[in-house]
Amino acid sequence: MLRRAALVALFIGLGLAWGSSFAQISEGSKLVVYTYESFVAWGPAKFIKTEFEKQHPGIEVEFVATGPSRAMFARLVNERISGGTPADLFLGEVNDVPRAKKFGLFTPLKPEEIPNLRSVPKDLLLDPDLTIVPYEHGFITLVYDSTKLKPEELPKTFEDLTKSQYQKKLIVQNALTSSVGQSFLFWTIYNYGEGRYLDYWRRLLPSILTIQPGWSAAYKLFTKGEAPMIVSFSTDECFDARYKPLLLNSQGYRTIFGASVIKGTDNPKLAREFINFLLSPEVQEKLPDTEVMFPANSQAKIPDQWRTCAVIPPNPVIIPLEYVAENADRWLDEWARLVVTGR
Amino acid sequence: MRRWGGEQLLLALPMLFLVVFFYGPIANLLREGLTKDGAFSLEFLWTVLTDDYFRYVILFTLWQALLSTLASIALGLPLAFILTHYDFPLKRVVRALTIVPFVLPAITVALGFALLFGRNGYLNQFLMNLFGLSEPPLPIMYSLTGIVLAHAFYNAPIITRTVHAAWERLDPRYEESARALGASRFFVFKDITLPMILPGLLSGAALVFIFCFLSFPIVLSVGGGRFSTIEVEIYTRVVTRLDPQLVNYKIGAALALVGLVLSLAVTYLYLRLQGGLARQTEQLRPRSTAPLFAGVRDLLYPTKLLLWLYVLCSVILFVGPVLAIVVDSLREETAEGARWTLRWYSYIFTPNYEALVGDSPLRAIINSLSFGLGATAIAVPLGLIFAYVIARLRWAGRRLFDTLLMAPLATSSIVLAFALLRAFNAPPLRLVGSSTAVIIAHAVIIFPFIVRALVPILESLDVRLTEMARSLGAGRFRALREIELPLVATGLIAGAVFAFALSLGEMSATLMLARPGLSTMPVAVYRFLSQHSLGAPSAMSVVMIAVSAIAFILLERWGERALRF
Amino acid sequence: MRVTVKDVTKRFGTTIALENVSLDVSDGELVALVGPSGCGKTTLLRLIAGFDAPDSGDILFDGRSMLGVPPERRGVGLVFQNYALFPHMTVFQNVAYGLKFRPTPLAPFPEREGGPDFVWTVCRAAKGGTVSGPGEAWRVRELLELVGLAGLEDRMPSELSAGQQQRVALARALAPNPKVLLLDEPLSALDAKLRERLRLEIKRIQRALTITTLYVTHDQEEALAVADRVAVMSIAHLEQIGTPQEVYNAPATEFVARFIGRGNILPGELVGADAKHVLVRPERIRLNQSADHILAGKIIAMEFAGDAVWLHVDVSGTALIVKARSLDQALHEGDVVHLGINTSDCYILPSDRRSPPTR
Repeated sequence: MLRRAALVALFIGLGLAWGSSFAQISEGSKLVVYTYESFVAWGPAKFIKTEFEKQHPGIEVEFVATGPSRAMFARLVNERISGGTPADLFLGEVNDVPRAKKFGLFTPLKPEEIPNLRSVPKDLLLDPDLTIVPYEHGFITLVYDSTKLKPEELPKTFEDLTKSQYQKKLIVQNALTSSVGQSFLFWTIYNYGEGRYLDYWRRLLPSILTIQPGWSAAYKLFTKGEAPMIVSFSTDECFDARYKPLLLNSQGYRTIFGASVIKGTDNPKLAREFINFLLSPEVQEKLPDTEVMFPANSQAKIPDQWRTCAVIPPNPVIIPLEYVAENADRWLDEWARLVVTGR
Repeated sequence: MRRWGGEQLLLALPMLFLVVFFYGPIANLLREGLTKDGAFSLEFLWTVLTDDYFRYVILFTLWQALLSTLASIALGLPLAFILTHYDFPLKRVVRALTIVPFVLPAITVALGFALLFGRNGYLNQFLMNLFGLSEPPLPIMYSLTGIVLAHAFYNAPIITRTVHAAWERLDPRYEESARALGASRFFVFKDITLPMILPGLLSGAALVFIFCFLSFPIVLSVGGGRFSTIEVEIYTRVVTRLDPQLVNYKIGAALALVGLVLSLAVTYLYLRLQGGLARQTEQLRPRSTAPLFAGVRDLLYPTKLLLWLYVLCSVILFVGPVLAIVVDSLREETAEGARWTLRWYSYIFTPNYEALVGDSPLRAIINSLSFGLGATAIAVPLGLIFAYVIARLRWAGRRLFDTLLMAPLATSSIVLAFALLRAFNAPPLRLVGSSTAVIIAHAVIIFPFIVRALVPILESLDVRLTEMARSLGAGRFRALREIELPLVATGLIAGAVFAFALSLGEMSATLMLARPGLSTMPVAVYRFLSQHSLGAPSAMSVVMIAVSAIAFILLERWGERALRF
Repeated sequence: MRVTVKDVTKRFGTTIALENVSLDVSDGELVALVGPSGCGKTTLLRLIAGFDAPDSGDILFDGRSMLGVPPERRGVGLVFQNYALFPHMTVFQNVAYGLKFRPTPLAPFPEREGGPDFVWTVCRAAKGGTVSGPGEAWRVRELLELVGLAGLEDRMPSELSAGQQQRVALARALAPNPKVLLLDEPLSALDAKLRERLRLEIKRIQRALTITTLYVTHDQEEALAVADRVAVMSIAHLEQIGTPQEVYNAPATEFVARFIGRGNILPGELVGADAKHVLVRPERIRLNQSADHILAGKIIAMEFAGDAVWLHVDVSGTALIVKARSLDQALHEGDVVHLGINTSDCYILPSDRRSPPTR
């Protein structure tokens, strides 16, 4: 009888062993970078990995990207409170940073530790403590399908967008799950203020065809002709000439991506070198083509075509990070209540 | 003494496995919802249960699950009828393929639905052209209807499978007696067939209800942000809305607790119904079947016409989205318009993405199949032992034990993934990023299906067979191996195939636990979706559908051959 | 109701279940359809009931073709071997089920035994919803009285003995006043004693109701006991139809001779007959008495049957079976006996009309 039990145990053991044969855990000389999925999926990750490993023999760069920026952030926190994280670096959207600071997740850096920071314009440095180093930025705007809407049919202001002629014409992203969606929400709050933004959304809802969980899924629906307008980036025309930016109130909401060093990393020096490398012109010049974003380093060359296709809105706006940190959670709660229950 | 040791050990091992890899981690996560500043507190649970918003969400969760279950029954029942009563070419293949929807990642289904049912989808375009309309006539996408239909797409096959099984076991002479007594087909179905297949139908429906109750990617994508369920709330609060005070995290955990209690209650119901099913009589006469299509004359009979109408609708619903994905994977939008292309396939098979995930699609296929086999290899002995304990040993609290055993089925994948991420991150089990972690997670998720497939068969098995074997001198385990196992082989294989399918389709936990080099097919689909390459996720989905369809057909064939020994 | 089966052929795939079978059952007649298992008798029954359609040929009720008429409109009563009582309905609901679809003329509402109390009882039993009023309830009561089960209305089928289940099945089939009763091995799941009792009862009920009945069985003894006429089938063929006496005494084929009763089929020359084969029934053989032909043989086996003894006698290599009265004389295995056969007791078997059926 014991023999049978042992047999079962063996079975389970074999199953596990099967699994383990695929395992390849080897810590040590490894730089683990947590980042959002699109950075590795179509971003410059491969180039960075190859080049950085070339410059630092014996070092292996591993990108872990199991979700969007905010999901990675949550993963980081979850790992921190349950036994520590293997991450050395975090690349993500700045709106999440104030919260990260409160968690005490990131190490503040000194400007002299990152030489390439000199070439980064001051208006991108939103965090005075420099827990996050911006490496790219862009502008959230509306984007429209020029084969579906004529220029004279376009809305010009946020108010225009609520007109009945735009019923079900707009695809937006979920502010709870998508950074782009969250930026769009913040943008409306920027324009309507605490008191009136919910009322605006109430009026906007009929114009919205769907609130999609992520930018990718939303963009796919947009390209399939489900609706002629979407919340996206001002640089989208560089990717496909049919899709042109549409500036509401002549604005664009800034979206900035930055790198942070995780507190307690066993490789602080290497991590700083990685950030410096990220800001180097050779990497920065890859960003327009791969991330479809503006490089943070002003020394980096921008592709020629970008002069026409990449639009910089006349009035870039952003809500200060401290203010976001104070209120974001409440805003998201109120917004969710409104769109879900209609109240 | 020897006997005692063997039996205890036999049960202790799998129990230990579950405690370490499931109950412990889940309890650890749920505890967060019941503590504040380290002390026990009902504050978050109270918030969740009393706040208007959460109440709305909880009620909507139940409502959409109920509607989805009804839709799954409406769509699954006729197919069960057709499979039971008619013959048609490739019937076995069709039966094997009904399991394919199970493996499809929600993002693929959402995309397929958008392509087919969207405002600019094939169906609306077709109807607009046909009737000269200016607005899309079918507002299916981005609505409750869309959520319900997508859930039916996934779950109607469960109804079909459970009802088909019950129906085939039903002695046709009951129905024939009723007809001879003057009951028309309708009355026979209402008075005789339905009450007799009802336990099967209800147990399938309970399972579907649990799945729809727990589903969240479909609600997020097909329904959109205007709909929220318990799982969506857990996902957004735990995964995307972390705050320094961990309030959202704790509310998420409290919601998970509420969700778990509700789905366990349904699970309990499901188990009771399945218990009723096992008592049904074995069939004595095989059912006679008729060809499905007997000629054009069929169209003259109203019942047959109705049947064909159903076939048309179900082809649109079940085959349509898959076909739309296939078409999408072969299309390319260019400045001059759309054209046919193989570009996306060559794109996904070019190992251009080494760095991003360290995975080629080929690697993902191999990973998927290995994880599936590995997890099934763990789940089969695990499920077998538990099924045997439940079916053969009579003891108080048996049903409760059974319900708790089904808890992985009643736990959402996102809660499980997060719980395991926490557990596997702590020192004794630092497994995050290893395939062991993925396989264990899959095994935990899938083993309940093996248990469920086996318990009714073991219960209905004539105990005298084992007694006979033992009187002839076979030991208890020998009787089990040589008499009972061969007799439950059908159920075991059916359960294992189902479990394997579930493993192939699992995404949340895999995504959370896997590191580069360990991506599975659904994870690869997810990766490709976050790229700008629009056809690639569809191409990867097609590859995935093809691989799993072939796997299921082979498994079914192999299973049937294995039975003929 | 007269049931006519005309040249019916039915195939399942490549196997032929029935080939050119014709059968005529007169109004009120009980015909037993007997044959070895798998010979197609159940198939024939299902064709008459309407569950399957013949490939060719016709089935007529009172001269009206039933082809295309669904089972529920044929007005047949049906009893299966396993009874197929609806397990989720009470006895009352089972019996009343058919009344829902074929309303029977309401029985008069006399002040019968039981009175209003009884009416109340049966109405309560009816609350499954299958029966609408006391008329139907009376009918159910009437049927249950007929089969001797009054009082068991509230029982579930699983609470009944096999014999009771069989009676309920019969009552259920009879409740809507069917014009044809089809019984498919109705007694084969019961023990021998019960079988004998119930077959008499079925015959009694059938006589009382004068309902046209087709009774399928593999037990030739049962067939001879209950039937007005017996139809003997071999594989897919109807061999002979006739009264029990006819098929017993004058079998049309060797198959019938072998299947019905016990018999000795001897080469013609043994008894000087001008035929290939002759049939001599065991009870016609005289033991140690003078007769037209005397054959000497040795007893090789004996079966004691109370009022008789069956002797297996070896006559120069041919085994004969003889039925002797048990008290006749002291006989032992190994004894040599003389078997007397009169020419008048020899039935000359017609040479087969067709080649014998293959198995």
